[in-house]
Amino acid sequence: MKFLQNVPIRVKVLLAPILLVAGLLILALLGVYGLTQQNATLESIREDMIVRIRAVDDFALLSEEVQSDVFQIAVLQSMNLPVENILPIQERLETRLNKLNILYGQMLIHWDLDAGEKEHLVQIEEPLDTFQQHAVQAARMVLNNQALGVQLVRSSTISFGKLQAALDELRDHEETRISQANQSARQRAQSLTSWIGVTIIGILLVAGLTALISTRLITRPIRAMTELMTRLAAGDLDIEVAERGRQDEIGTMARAVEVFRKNALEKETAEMALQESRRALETLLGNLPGMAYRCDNDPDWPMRFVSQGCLALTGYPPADLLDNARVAYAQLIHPDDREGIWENVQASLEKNHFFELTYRIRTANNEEKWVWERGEGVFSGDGELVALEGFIIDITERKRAEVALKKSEERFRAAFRTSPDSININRLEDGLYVDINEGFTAITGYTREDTLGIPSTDINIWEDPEDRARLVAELTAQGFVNNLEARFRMKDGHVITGLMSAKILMLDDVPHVLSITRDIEELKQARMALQKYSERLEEMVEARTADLVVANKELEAFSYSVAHDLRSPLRGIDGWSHALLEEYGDQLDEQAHQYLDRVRSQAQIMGHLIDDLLALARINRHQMRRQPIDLTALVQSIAAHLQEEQPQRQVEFVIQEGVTTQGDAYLLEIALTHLLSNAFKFSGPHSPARIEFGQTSVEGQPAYFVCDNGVGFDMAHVSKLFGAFQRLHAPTEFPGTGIGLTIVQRIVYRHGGRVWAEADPGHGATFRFTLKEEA
Amino acid sequence: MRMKRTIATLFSALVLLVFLVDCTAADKQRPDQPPVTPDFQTALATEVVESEAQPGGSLVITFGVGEPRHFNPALASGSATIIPGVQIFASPLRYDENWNPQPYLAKSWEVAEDGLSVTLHLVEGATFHDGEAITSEDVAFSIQIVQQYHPFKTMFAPVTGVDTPDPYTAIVRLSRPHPAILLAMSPPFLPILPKHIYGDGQDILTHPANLKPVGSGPFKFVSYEPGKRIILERYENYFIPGRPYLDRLEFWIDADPASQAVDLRRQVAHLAPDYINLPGLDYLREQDHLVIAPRGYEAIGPINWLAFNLLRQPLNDVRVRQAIAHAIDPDFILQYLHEGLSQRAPGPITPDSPFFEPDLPDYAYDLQKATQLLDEAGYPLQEDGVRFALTLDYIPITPSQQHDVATYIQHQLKEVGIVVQVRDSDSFPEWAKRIGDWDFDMTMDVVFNWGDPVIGVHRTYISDNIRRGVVWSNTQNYSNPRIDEILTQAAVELDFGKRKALYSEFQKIVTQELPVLWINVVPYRTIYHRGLGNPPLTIWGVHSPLDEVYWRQPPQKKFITPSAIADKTALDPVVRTGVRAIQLLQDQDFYTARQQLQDPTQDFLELGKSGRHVIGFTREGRVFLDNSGQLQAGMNISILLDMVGNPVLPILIESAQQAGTEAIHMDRFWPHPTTQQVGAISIWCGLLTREEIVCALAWDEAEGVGK
Repeated sequence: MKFLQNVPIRVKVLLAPILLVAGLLILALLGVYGLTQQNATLESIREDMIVRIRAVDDFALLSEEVQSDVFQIAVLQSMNLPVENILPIQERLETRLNKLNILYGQMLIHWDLDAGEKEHLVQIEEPLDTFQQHAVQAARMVLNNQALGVQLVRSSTISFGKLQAALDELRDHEETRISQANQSARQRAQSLTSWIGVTIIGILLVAGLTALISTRLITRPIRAMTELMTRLAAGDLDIEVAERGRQDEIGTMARAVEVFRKNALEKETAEMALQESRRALETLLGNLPGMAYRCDNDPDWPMRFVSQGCLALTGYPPADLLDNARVAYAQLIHPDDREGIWENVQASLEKNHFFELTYRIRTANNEEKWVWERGEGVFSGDGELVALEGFIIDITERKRAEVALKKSEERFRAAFRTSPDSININRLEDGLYVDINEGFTAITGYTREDTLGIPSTDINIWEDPEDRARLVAELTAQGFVNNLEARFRMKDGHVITGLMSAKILMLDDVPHVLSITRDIEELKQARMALQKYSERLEEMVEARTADLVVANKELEAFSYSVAHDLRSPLRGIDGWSHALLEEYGDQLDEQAHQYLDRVRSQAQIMGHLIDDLLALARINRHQMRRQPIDLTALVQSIAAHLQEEQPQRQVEFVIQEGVTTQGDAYLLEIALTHLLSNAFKFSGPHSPARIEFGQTSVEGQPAYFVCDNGVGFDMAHVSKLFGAFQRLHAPTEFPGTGIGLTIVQRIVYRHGGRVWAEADPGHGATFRFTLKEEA
Repeated sequence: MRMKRTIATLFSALVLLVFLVDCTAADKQRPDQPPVTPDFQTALATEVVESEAQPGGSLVITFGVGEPRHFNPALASGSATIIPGVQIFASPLRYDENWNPQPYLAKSWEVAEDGLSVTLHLVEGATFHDGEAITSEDVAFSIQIVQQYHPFKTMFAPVTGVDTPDPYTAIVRLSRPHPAILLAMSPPFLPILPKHIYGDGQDILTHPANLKPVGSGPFKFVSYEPGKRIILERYENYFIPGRPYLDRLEFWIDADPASQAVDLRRQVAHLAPDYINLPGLDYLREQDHLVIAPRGYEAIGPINWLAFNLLRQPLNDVRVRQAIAHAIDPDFILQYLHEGLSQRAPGPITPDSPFFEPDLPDYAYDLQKATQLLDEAGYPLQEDGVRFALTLDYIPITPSQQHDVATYIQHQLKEVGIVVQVRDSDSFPEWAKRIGDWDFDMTMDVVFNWGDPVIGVHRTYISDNIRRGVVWSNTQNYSNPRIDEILTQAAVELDFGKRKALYSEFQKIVTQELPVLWINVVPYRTIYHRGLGNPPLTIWGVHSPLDEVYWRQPPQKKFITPSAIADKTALDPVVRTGVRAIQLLQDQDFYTARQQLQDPTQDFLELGKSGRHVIGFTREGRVFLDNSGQLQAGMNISILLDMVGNPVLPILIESAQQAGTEAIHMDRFWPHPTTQQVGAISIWCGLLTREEIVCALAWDEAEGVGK
């Protein structure tokens, strides 16, 4: 310490404060610098995290919009809206899918990822791909084939769920990181503060020690000097030291006293530096996005400290809130939320656990904000609750996004609301109305107040409650019902017919019925009117038919009697002209013979015609008796008969064995005789002639055919074939009156069948007929 | 090239010495060759020498580029016309994979020293498909038609006439030297048409022969079913002896990428040109018998870009355009949106071209720089965070190139305060009209280089091609006297080196001024069956005759014979239908079998009560057949759940493996194809091959819905 003896006392005295001030200054600078650095780094990390959480939220929102589009398409399609209404949604869906893809790519490529994030992102890739595929395929399929489309929509719902789960994990990861960043920010701020404190104390100690040493170095010579010095040293420092102008030790002492006085002033400066470092800490807190606070555990939440974020968050400067100066924080909280917060905080305090709250506040400019708060109790060493500390941030944006999602759902509901058809959602179990649309009100007269929360059975809207039971049964069995027709009673009591399509819809895991009903009452009325009209028409037709039947009968009777009555004079003409030839033949010349022959042959032809007319009339008048008939045997006997009549003809009959039917034996014999003799006749020129009979099937009904290889006819004249007295061939070629096929047709008609022919000139003809087995 | 080189080629090589030497040298030195992908290597590995070539067989080409309006490439440049058109019509020259012209209908040719004429010596004895001789008259006629009607006016613009001193010599006279004249004689540009047919006085644009062409190329026209297929047959008197090797070409047209993929996978189709469905490539890559080649588009040089309308503010400010360039990350588009399959196109000339200039400014992705440029240009952020708003159009086809990139650009520009509205067009013509009428701010576009810059590049930058109403003209309204000067010079410069220097300057200037922001070369892929010899991988790829292609190893399908139960007379109509369908698919080619299965009179399809129909799908669930039309070909049913929530596919596969004698019965499994109701059905499934399953389904009426 010898060298110190040479140092003047005034210097020795200055040494300690200089050291002290310098140390504190350096410390303050270091503290401010360190805090600023820290602040910047943490801030950037936090900002990063917030951006990422926001991106993940955007991503989730977008995928929800995609899924909502898929549903929307499915519902609009099930409402049978025109495709132009649906295509824009599909386009929007594909654009949104594309955006999803871009957002994902941005995360993957432009984010600086840590291992955890990378893992989570990779885990998203597969569900994202699947979801995109499913959404696109579902939307397209719904338009093409609704049933398969609905199945794909279900697939897309499942993959959507998986995507959301993966996204939640990513979001959790990011949120963990943000709370970790928050926590480490606080920890570091605390440790920095205490470090500064410890260092200050250390420096003070060192400074004090130095001062002590210096003082000792000074007091020893002072004690040895004078009593005055002691008096002065013990005296009031405020007094004016008059002797300080002196150049001796006393003068030095006097100046030293003056120095001590200044020293006290310097101490004040040091305290200010300390305060400055504290203020820097506050700035750090103030710059945080949100408000850090310390308050008492009191329902009014009197604030003991709030950070600068207070102004941005609440609109009040911190001073207004501190100690409830202008307003208590509790007054800012939405009245509905206050009690819940108090209870929540108390519960957390009891468990010595931090609390997290989401609630609304009203700011100074009367704006409502959603905030998120996290805080915890600060306890003293003996476990006494000293205060609450925590952090409050503004989450209005996020909430707004949630609201936006709700709105997009709203838009989706608009389609529901404004449909002219009646649409409602009710609980499957009891028909309790959850929602109805305007169409429902317009059609039924029931308002929302009349129906919501009330089971459909209570308002007796189903005229027949069994209909609802039927609906429920079908829905339970297959998930949807299409075009169920049922009667509904309207509010004013009148009943309409509705066409209902419905689907099962899960709301909060409870099956509900989404049903769309179209009022088809008018349609129904029109249909009934039509029905009535057609019934009347039928009656009219029947009356007319009855008239006709009578007229026909009369006509038949007339033609029978005419034919019958004509027969005897005709026989007279024939007989008398025959007699004339027999008895006076030799007196007549050639010419007269010819005339008489003509008279006779014309009379005979007329006789045949009358016979045929009689036959036809007889057929019409014949009482039908159906019985089993062996057609094969019948045809065989007719064929044998024909052969016998003209043994010179070479005709091969091919008759299928075992053909039987039900019919009138008399009539069928006539019909087959006509057909076979026709065939026999028209196959004349062909040798060997061949006639076939058999059974085939036409349109699932047995049909019978007679087929020959004769002259056939031109199909152009087929329409004339069955007309009475119509002939396709000259009588000179083939004898006959042309009534035969008319008779065949009558007989077949009377059996409820039909007859038709096919032919080719020179290659024969085929006649086919069917018989209705049972009238 | 694998063809024998004739003396004529050597001669032409002498004439074009500089061009060739420079060209090939440049080719080798080019630093940014497309990355050699695995499929590219296999493409090389499968190339074989001609000696192995064996004749016979037929090739099915599945075709996703739309419906051809006709088959006359003299009138149009669309791939749908060109790809069948170049098989039907021969051209004077063709090109190898190194940009060398090769003899084709011209066995040799000379370009005059002054560059003012080209003399073509035609192959003697060549005939059209109707047997008439191909003469110099036909060449003169064809050049005149292309000059008059083809949309690419620059190809033959300098031609003043064609002299025909004898039937086998045609001398093309030029008003000025024309460096692109030889390339313009390539198959896609100059089909040799029979004058005796097209010159009959009828309007060539509506000439009936455009749809029933009488050609000069390796394959002759047989039939065309619109929307379905085109059939061509080997022309037996083709002027190259022994060629073509294949007996028959079938083009299945207007196929969507998913059904193309399943047809390729099943080996019923063997070649897919111009394939661009990137998400579908993964599936095709899994198929060992397929090769996916990125080559064959070098001459086409398709560039995907973002174009600006320079008539409009603020896009008329180059700083704004540069800012937009900085705000867009081409790597994101190439690596992420295009899955690493696209090649970067930093400027107007494709990196595959010998004229490509690699040293171009790089607008690095830098949002700050973009912001700064926009501030400088006087468009600061407004209070609402927006600087200005723009619209962005796109071509409504090939979404990976157009729509997806447009959405990305919209997303990126928002970051720098530019609000972009992406405008949809319902159809290509609607888009083309907007752009032709200059009714746009920005648009995505795909424009082809078409081999020589004179043909495909000049048109969108030179100021005398600012023509309202014409899409793919200079619709950007870009005008720079220096550019006009360079391009005018390059259009008459025959010296390759000088031309290359001119184009270098051109590329450097336009990439500074950015009338267009070029993004990537459209990643077209040629997908072909590994069993094909001499796959089409020249610079023109499939847009060139396929007369060298042959079946080295024809595709073989190993059918599984339906076992003992495979009894067509089975009583259950479902089982009978299933077994009959499998036999039909094994006996007939797929196209014919499918036609029959869809024919309601053939008893495979009953859309009434039973809803009986047949579906076919691969083991992984790709549908290749549904005769009721309920499922589209290419759809993936592996994601389908039945109404109970079980996956449908495993049940069908298991049932096919068992292939019992009786149908299985399922409830709420499958909708009725017309009523779409879901009830009880019967299914019978069997294996067509190990990988392919065919099922017959029918609705069980008795147990139907009416419970």
